[in-house]
Amino acid sequence: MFTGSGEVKLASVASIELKADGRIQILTGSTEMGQGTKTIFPQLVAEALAVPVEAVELAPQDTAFVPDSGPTVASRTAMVVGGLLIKAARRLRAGVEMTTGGTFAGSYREFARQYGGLRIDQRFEPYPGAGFDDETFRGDAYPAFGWAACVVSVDVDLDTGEVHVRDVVAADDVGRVIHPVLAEGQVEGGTLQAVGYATIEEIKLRDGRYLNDRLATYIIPTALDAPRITTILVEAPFSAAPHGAKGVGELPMDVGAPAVIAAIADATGAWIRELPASPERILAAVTGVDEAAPLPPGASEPTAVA
Amino acid sequence: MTTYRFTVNTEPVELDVPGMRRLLDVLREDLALTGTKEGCGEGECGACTVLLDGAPVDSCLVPVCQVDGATVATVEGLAPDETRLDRLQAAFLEAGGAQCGICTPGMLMAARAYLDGRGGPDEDAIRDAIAGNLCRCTGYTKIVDAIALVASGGSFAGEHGAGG
Repeated sequence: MFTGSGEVKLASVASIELKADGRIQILTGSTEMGQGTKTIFPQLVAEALAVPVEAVELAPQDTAFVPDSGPTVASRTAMVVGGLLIKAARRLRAGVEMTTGGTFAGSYREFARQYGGLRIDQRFEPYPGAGFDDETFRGDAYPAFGWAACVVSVDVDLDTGEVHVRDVVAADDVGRVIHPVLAEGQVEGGTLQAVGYATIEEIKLRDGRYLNDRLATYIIPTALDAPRITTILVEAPFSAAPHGAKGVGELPMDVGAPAVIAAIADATGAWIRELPASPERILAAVTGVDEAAPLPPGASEPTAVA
Repeated sequence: MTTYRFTVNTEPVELDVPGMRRLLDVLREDLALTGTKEGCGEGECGACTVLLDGAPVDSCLVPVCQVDGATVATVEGLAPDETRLDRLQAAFLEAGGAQCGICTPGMLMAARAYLDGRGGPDEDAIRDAIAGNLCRCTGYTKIVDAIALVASGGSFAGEHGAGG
């Protein structure tokens, strides 16, 4: 979620509409980009309404139709927008049940026919007990924290300085797991990006221009470079969110690189202080000899500096 | 312009196009088979992988003149019909082998070639077979698991299910 009073300022809205034809539609601006929003939002709403997940659909994320749910960033979609949807679903359920006197699942179609549907817009409200003062920069930067640990085993070739990450175990506390396969996918993907960031990925600039602006030169891990990643999902729920979820997107990215560097130190005794831990940096750290500067294009030996 | 004749997913195709036109563009723009994705367009990422006479190739690097008389298999040809998925596609769904989906069509075709070549469930061999296909989302673990699921011949939920 956003830091400090960010979420209060965003004042995001998520909506659920019971349409006149009996369809239940989720309306949010949160974009599906592979992380599983399209799966978990209907899950959360169906559970809150006590209807089958197939009965809930997601409106296309077109701003002509959906409210402003804030940006799809900051590991906030499941936690913040998901929480708004559960609150909206509870209000929808209460509204229908109060009118019909029956269960929501058993009476919403008849309710929709009779009253032409019902739409609930749920706006973000500060989490109880958490506040941040923008004048003094004091208070709770976040109402809850995710915790993560990562254990890495590496091989380091002392002749070439190459490091091979063999295995990674990542344990991430995401508050509450909504969909285990998708949550593991988030942890594994983030962990591999962290391993890449620790070992091979480096944006190189000269005179403000990218030297490696394509996949031929900006190297990311292939399936052969990637370690097997074992994920442990930990659940320490966030009590102020109706579903207990905390963020998952960025969390695994934070711990992988320090674990790789610590494993290299365990193997070689040398601490690498600049990422990535390239062969040049590892050899320089292990031998105590400064990293050789690359030769200018076309040069066969270092030019003497006057 | 020359006339090129080849087969795409069992359908015979006849096209008048410049010989150096990329197979990727022929598939996506001339034949409207947009399942094949363009990632980098320079043969690094494997997103545009299709099978050319059974062998995985980057369709961004193949000029259509080299396809004359050949058989091209794309992701559209994997599923047996509109309501069912290929076992490999079902395994990707089951294991969580797809996230953003850009690498998925190419990943599926590389895996299909591996399985058609009697590839087994050995993890290192699977990783070798998909080493030319980059994925930025999954960490590869679940993709490897999905391919191993099919290679081991075991049964899993959704393998006979309707396509979604």
